[in-house]
Amino acid sequence: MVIKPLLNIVIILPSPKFMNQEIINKLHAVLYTVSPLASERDRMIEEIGDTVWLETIEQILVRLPEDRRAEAIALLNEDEVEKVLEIAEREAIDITPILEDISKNILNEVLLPAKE
Amino acid sequence: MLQGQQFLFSVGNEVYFVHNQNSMNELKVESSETEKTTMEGNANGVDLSMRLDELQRRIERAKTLDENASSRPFELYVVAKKLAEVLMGSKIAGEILDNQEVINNAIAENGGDVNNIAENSVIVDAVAKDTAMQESVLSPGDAVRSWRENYYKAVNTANEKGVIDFSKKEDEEGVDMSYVQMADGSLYENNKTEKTAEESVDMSYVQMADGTLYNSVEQSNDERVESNAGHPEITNFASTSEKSEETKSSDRYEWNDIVRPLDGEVDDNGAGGGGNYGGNNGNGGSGGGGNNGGGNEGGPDSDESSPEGRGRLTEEEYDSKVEDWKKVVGAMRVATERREKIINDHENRIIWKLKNLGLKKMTTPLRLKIRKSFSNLKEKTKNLFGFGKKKVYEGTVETPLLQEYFPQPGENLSTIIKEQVLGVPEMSTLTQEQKDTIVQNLFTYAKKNPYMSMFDQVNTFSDAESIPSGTAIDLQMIKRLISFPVDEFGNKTIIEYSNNPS
Repeated sequence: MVIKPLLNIVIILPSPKFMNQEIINKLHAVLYTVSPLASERDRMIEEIGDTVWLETIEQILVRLPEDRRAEAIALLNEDEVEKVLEIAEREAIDITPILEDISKNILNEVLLPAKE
Repeated sequence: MLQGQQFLFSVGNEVYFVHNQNSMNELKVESSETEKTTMEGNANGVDLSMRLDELQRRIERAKTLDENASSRPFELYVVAKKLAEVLMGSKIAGEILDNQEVINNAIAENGGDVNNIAENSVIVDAVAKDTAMQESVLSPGDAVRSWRENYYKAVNTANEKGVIDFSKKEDEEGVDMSYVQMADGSLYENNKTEKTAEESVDMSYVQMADGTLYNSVEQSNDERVESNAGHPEITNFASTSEKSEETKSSDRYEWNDIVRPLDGEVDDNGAGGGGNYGGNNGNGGSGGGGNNGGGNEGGPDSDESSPEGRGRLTEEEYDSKVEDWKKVVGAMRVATERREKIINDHENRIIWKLKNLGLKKMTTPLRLKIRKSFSNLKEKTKNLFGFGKKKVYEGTVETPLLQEYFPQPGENLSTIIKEQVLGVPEMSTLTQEQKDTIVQNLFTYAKKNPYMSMFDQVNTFSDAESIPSGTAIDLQMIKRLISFPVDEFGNKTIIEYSNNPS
């Protein structure tokens, strides 16, 4: 999806194809009660992913020792996300369980209003 | 925006007048809703100061408003976008750049189309007007009239004090002030008295911001003088150029044109939302399909891809279009409210935490990089949301399904599912019996959840022998319904459970 703002700055938003299709299917199904528009659901799913990534970054930073945390934040402010993840790996922070816990919690949050 | 340029447009109940009044390129914006505050405590009588950052602050504040919260931000985003458009060439474009991301995100979030803001403006006008009427708040016409009264007083006071002088063609710096920029970007000559045949524009009709058409030449000179009786200073201004029968229907700028509906009755919108500034195409938002400032004479068959080529819609066509858009806007509004509740609150908390940790700003480039980095962690993303199961048909190419499948005569939902959804190549291993079981399980599960809208189509047509002509079946949704794990079936998908109930 490409959004073209006035100043010819093209923002390319990756499609949900980066995510597991099974997950996307389920999210579409449960989000149908929130929005009947597929394009709206696609955008919501991307943003759900965004929220998961952001919270994971936050949890990684919290788990880092203070000096490494300062280094990681400095890298983040320079948009060097890969290097932040490398620091996490060097500090033996396993991202997988963090991702799982966060994503389950967020999915529950997503589902809750949908059931109301 | 050149110094001295100004334009007028309306969004919802608010009418905005924007002009670039001094060499500092300070944006000045006046809105009908702030007329009271703008008129108080100002030595010049013209307090139009609202810089872009103030407007942005108002947008943020509007987000927290309960009343019409989902529509207000969109309206104000339209305003912000319009301002950004007009100010592109100004010295404060730098400020616009910083806000552009916010503006675009906001517009996208609220279902607006960045590239069709003009149409959205008109749509928002129509929806807001309807909403306002229904909620018995101040009608757009009254709001505009009230604003115009105060505005006329303010501007004429400013004129007397030399702050604004529309009688001059150029200001001291040689900036041509004889042109007025309309909301759609077109320019109109101020005090223009002559018009060539080629430039002639049929100004006998004026399209208001809400798309209503008014016959502007029905008003006689006598009526015009009479209507100006309460505002002699306006007459003075208006008389800076000669009026003649020939120029009555020209696109010459006249502030005091009062237009009437085609049926002769004075409409509540008679004051003209956002557009009567030019006595001309008063369309505050250059509504889609409407007559734009370029004096488009094209009919409905004109090429609608360019503003110049857009034909003029009839009232009925426009009303119909607005009705359709209202439904879309309404649905998007509901979805946006829910989405904001789900995502934004949570994300805002996270971003706040990150900022407490030292993050300076959550920019779009950073967000995209984060998204890309995590998406590259394939194994980890596979476990996202706890679903680590291997897909049943992983590795195969999925046949794209229609979101709107129109059944053939005699087809019922069961047949459609078996042939269109379960009949795709990647499901070729399913036997007819398995397909029957899958369909039956789906129908049974849907009936147990009658209030979940995702099962609406299934529940509506599961027992029907045939589906009414013209009904579109969402095959993609049905595929999803049978492809996600269900607690009732032991956390298996309906397909899996049907193949292996144990």
